[in-house]
Amino acid sequence: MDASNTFARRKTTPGARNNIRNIAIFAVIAIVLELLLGDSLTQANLVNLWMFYACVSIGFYYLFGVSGQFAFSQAAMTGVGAYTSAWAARDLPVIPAIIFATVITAVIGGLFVLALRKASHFYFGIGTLALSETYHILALQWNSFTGGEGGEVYGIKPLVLFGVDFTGDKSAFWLMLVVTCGVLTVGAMLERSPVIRESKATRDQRTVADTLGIPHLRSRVTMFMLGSAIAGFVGAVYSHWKMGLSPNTFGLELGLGVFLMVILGGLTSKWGAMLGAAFFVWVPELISFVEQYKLMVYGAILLIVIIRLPEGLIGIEHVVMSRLRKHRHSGGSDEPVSIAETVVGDLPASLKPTSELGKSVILSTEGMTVRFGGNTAVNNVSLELNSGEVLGLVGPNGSGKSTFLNAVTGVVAAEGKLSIFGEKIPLGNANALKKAGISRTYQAPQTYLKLTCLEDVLLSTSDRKYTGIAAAILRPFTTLKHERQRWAIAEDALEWVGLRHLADTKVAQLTYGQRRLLELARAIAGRTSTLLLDEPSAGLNAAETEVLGEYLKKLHAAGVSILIVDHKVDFLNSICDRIAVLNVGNLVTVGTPDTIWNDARVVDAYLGTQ
Amino acid sequence: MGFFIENLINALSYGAAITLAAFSFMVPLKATNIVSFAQGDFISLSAFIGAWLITDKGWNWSIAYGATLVIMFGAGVAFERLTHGSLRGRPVDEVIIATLGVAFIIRGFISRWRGANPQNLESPLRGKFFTFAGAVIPYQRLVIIGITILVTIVLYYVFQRTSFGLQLRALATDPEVARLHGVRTTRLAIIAFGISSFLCGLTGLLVGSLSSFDIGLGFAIMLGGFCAAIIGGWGSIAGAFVGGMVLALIERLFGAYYFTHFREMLPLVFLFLFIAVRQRGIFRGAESYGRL
Repeated sequence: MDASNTFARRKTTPGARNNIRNIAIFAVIAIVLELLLGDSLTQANLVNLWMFYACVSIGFYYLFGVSGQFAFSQAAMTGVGAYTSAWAARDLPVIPAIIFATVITAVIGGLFVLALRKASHFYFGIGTLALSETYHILALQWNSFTGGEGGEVYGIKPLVLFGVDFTGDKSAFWLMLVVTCGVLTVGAMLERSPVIRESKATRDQRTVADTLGIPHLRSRVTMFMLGSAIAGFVGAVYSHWKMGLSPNTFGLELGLGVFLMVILGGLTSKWGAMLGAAFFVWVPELISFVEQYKLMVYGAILLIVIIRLPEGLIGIEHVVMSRLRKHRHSGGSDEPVSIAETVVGDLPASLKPTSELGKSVILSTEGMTVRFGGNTAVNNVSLELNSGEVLGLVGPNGSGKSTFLNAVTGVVAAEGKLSIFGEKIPLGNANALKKAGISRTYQAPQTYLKLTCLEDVLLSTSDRKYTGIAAAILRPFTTLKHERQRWAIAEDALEWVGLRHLADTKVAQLTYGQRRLLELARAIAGRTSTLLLDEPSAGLNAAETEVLGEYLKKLHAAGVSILIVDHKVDFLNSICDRIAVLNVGNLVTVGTPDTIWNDARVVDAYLGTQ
Repeated sequence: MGFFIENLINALSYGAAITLAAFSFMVPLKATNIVSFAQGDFISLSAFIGAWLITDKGWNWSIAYGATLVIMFGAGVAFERLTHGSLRGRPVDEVIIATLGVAFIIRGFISRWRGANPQNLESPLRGKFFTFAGAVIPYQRLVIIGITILVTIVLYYVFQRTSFGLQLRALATDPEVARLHGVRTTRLAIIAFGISSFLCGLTGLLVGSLSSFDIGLGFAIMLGGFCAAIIGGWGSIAGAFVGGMVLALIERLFGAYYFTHFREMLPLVFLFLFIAVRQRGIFRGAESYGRL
């Protein structure tokens, strides 16, 4: 134990640290508002409406902000929950009706995403517009279900608990307060689990998430179900609170309103949605001019916020806070340390490959071929990577080195056979490689700019138990226990590449060289037995390349096998056991560094035939 | 027979209107990769402006129509400057949300300005019709079909045969390379949005003069336009035309006999199936498919 002692082991993720405190602050604010405004009838109603809109837009924050799914269906989903619960309450008590409506909304949302799983971004958005319109037509026309002409329903069964009728504004306040705190608590549980960061990873770079072993479809489906379920749940509560429904309550205005709320408040946190909802409810009420020109003002605000304040109101707070923090830290020691000065230590035990492999072939390709149109980028390449070796892959520009690596990891479509530990696996299955302990890096570092360094590294940790949404909500403590183990491994990885002090810094603030090291840290955090490195030295100067070589030697010494694509000959000679040469998509030869550069075919490939 | 012919003409003219709306999405999409969600409100806006000029200002219909189309072109230019132009280099999502903001503003403006009362837009052919095989056929519906066919041919010619069309297609294929080859991307984007808005104006005037209308006029047509464009395969002019017609026949002709109450759902179901199963539509618009 060396320098790591200077850092305390973390107990909770930075984003989640303040959750309990913030939920308490919210509850206090709501209660104070209720005490101040509760006597005026309309204002008390507004506090309740604020919480209602806040829940709808928090749901929308998860499916649009976190998961990045462009959806117009949030208001419609609220309506689905409301009408379903009103329908179910004809035969059922109110609480089971609400639960039933929540489940139905979640199922509809889940089936919707599954059906449109192949739809690209905006087709998906237009699909949600169709879903929303379908809801609207059904609410207007399907009288036998809604129980009212044209969707105008009255006399829905009220929610009565312990003899208290939750339909008056005063009692409804407590109901909505509990509902909102419940929604926020679920959110807090998710933020302590891998669910949120894996959704963001899927949102930002789906192919990279695939190679990290993150199931992207599961992530999309669960986040859409979550957002819809929250909407359906509060919609159901609303129907029993108001005892009446009209299709337009959840119409176009709310559908666009949720965009306004999350964007105005800020898409980076659920508190932004709460702030946006407060604005949405109170501003038209306080300024009568706004009430008259409501839609125009909303539209103008949306435009101005997008153009001038893309981070939203929450963003203002971040700017102020970081200014203050910078002021306090002036003269601190957060200056970036050049990579070239790093002293490379041994690979810590927590990152060493889980199993000794002995002498075996880890990965072999047979007749790997990649065609781009009529152009054959990789032609019939058969190559083997043995356990414990460092195999270099070189060749002039355009010789198909990176494409070969992309074909192996399933990033580009290819033909041929691929075996891992002698077992054939289908091409294009990024997940199978990850499961076999094979990780890769990219020619241009593919790191997640919007995550912190720690979150980025955490994406690849190999323990995939308790990563789902159900575990996060039903087994929060077991989930947290596993998260702590993952944090420890990720921090060791960051420590090893010398980035531990930046664990809570956004990746976007890192230098290019630091991102390279971060990507390396991420690749080894999965206790990987095999690394596939795509031009790791690109963009590094001589001293930095030397440090990189030190890292690779340490990995080699720890028993990690490496396939490395690179251009720098001296660098490769210093670390490789064998080197394979590609030219125009064909494998020219494979041999040791001493012999290979004297091979006439290799000289031809680089310098042309004499 | 009369019922069938009436519904057929009804369907074809509706199909023509949503084809025009589909074109109004495709032109800026080709130039900028932006799908605008304000088109529906632009369609409503033009009908309201036309009605205002003729009914309140007492202008002759031809001058009023011309003025409306000019105003709409200008509105399109302003729209581009406000959204796409001021959000250069930002994620496409943000630009699209900005178009939503403009949609809010137009909608709010119209309802403040003219209220919720139904509006009437005069046209020389309004209320005139002839009977054929027992079917009552308004001339206006035939005019809509005729103008749409004309616009389709003109757009097809412009996209395939003119330098402007070539530049648009170059921009759609690779904006970076197009810029390096001297395509003036800013000017092209402005013109594309102007044309798009002009097409919205045309749609609004043609459909608005069929019968009385209110602020919801544009939204239904916009949704139909989305369906038509997707079924036709975004980016294909002929595809959007066929898509619009197919969709209209299903909703208005098939829907006249079956599922009468829920006929508005038919195109949505169709749209949904296309997005789920065959995203690239019937006609593959090769250059824009995959960029959405």
